[in-house]
Amino acid sequence: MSRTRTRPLWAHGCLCAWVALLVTAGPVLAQARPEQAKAAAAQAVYRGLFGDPVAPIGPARVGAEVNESEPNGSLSDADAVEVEDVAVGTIDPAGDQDFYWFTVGEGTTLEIDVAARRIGSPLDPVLRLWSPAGSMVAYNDDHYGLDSRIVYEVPRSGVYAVSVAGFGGEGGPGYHYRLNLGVVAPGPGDPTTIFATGFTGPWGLAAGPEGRLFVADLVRSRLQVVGSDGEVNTLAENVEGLFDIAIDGDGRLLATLLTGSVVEFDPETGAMETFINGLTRPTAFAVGLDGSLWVAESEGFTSFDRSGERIERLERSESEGETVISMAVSPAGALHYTTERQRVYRVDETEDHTVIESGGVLEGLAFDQDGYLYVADGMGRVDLYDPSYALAVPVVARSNLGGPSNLVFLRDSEGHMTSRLLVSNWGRGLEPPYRGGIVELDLEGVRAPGFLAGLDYLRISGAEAEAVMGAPFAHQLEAEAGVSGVSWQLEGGELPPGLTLIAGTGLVEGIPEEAGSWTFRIRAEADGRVGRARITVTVLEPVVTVASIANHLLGVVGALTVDHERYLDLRGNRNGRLDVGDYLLFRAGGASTVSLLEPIGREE
Amino acid sequence: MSWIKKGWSALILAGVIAGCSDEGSDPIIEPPVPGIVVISLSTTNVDDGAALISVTGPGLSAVQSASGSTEIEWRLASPNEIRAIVMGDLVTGPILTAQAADLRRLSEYRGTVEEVADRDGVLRAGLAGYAVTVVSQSAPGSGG
Repeated sequence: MSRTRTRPLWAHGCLCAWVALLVTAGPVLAQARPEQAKAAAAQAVYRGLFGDPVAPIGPARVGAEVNESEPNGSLSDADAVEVEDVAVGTIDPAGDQDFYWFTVGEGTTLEIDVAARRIGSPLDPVLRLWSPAGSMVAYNDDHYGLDSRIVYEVPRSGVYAVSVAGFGGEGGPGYHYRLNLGVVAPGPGDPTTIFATGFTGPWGLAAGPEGRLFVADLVRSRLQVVGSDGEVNTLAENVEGLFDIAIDGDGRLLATLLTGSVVEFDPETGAMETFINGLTRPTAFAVGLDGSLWVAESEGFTSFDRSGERIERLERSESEGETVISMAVSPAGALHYTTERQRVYRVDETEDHTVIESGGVLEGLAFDQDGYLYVADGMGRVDLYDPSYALAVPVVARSNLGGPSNLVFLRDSEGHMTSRLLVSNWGRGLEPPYRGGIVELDLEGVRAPGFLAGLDYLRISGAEAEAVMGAPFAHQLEAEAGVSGVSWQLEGGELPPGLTLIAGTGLVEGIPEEAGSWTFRIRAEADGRVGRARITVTVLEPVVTVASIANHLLGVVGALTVDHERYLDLRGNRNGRLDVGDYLLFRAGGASTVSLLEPIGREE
Repeated sequence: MSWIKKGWSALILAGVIAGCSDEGSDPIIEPPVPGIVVISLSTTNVDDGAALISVTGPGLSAVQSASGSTEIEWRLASPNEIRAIVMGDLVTGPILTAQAADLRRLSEYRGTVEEVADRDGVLRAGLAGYAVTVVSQSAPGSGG
């Protein structure tokens, strides 16, 4: 008995289909039934975007190849194998099951992978894992397309068994399979830890100044930001066609929209403006060494200068027809990219070449400062290649990872690149918080800080300050050391009332007239470099007692400072001096009666 | 000295002698008469919310509100001056009472309106129409 599975159009990885899906169906699915739809939409968008994943046929094999020996259709007559062996067998006739037993130690993480469709077999295999007590402890159907995979951490040592069967009892001559009993060895970047979670389809990642991380959630069509404290906030929602994001050499937060444009977001308010339009289904993009912006369109790459003017166009040949999903520029200035295939491509002058070929779908790319390339594959693994594209570390990390996965190096609070390498998890085979999460590799597994392509934007310090309402305030913004002749301007948001920015000095000064917290964006420019920073000034109210105000009005010299007088007038009737009207308003504002500075009479 | 000058001198001397010889007794010093004074506000507005006033006069102390609907803060700026903040729905009429050292010198007690704000806290730009009067509590119409 055989079964035919009808794959929807978007499951074929067709560019037109997934673009259409992302632009229309994704957000609709996500809104219909929030939780269920989230997973379904993520999977749908995933398949639409990346196609059915194609994996290597099992991890690298170090054990023996064992042929099944019928009868082996039950636990009691299972064939003996050892972990890291490969068992080769056939599900024949229909209804057949093949069992294998093996001994494994506590704490071992098994990766059991059955390949059938990937080796040309008609079998749709189902995997089951059995405990020493004979109970089923893990099950999977369809991980690599119709092929199945189980990852299981063994809780206690003993004799376990794994069985292979055909979906729905299918089988027959030619229903071959290869069963790989792999062991997951941790990489130097394991274990990974959660950096942030709660996303649905996190893809585009951009490390912002002040240690913030911007995340483009493709399924939810929204732009989110993770603060240095791990708190996730939504900057913009219903961003139609949102795909990739980046911070360019001028500190702008840019995003590609599949609908045909690159837009700039205000990183504080989420307000969106068009930066480049007239593009053909732009997907990934990257900043070049000279600060230019390379945008992947459906058939090639187009570069733009820092003002968004078109520079040149390169057609793709090696990856013609494939969709570019991730791009990165090496320290040597070469543009690298991945598609929904198993390769990393490099663009040399006018042609592209395959430089890395792997068994798994290769997705996210990130160069470190020495030109080593971290590559995330869709199967939940991060590998490291040296500058000559030789595999330097086969598995840097594999824990808590599930594709599609993108990569990004974080910046620190001053904007410097760090060795903190993050991986986004769309979440194949994972559960929350890892599914829809972003994990951080163990620092021990990351060899150097990330490479910052493009012009490094001017770093600005002085991001936070406190002022007191009514008191003279001065806060000096500083560009990085060695940079002079900086011009400053307010680019977004508002300064606290009463304060001004001195364009020639970067001094924020004045007398704050309202209490509260104000966040605004500053743009600084010097020698062709531009920096942007988010500045927060918190204006506090001074502590003033009812008694001191009364005493002042009643003639006690020194009961209040000049700053306090100004503050009280600002929160009162604002006529330029402290008077009985301000006192009335202060009392009306809920100020309590306290002991008086001077012995005065009082009656209520 | 002419005879005219001599005549004036004699007259002055006679007058001095007559003045000092008033039956030959010591001068009488009247004791002060302490009491309560009532301090009243006059206003032409109907939405006054607070006023700062000062009252000067001999020996003022023990200020109290003259109305249950107002609240006061007061201070002795000197032995002869009180300053007070009066808050509430102010209308024409008594606002404060105070202990006065000598009611015989009632005419020396004077009040001044220094600031007035409406009930929204807006300071009155001018004080025309405002006045503070001080009367003895026993006086007719003092309200005391």
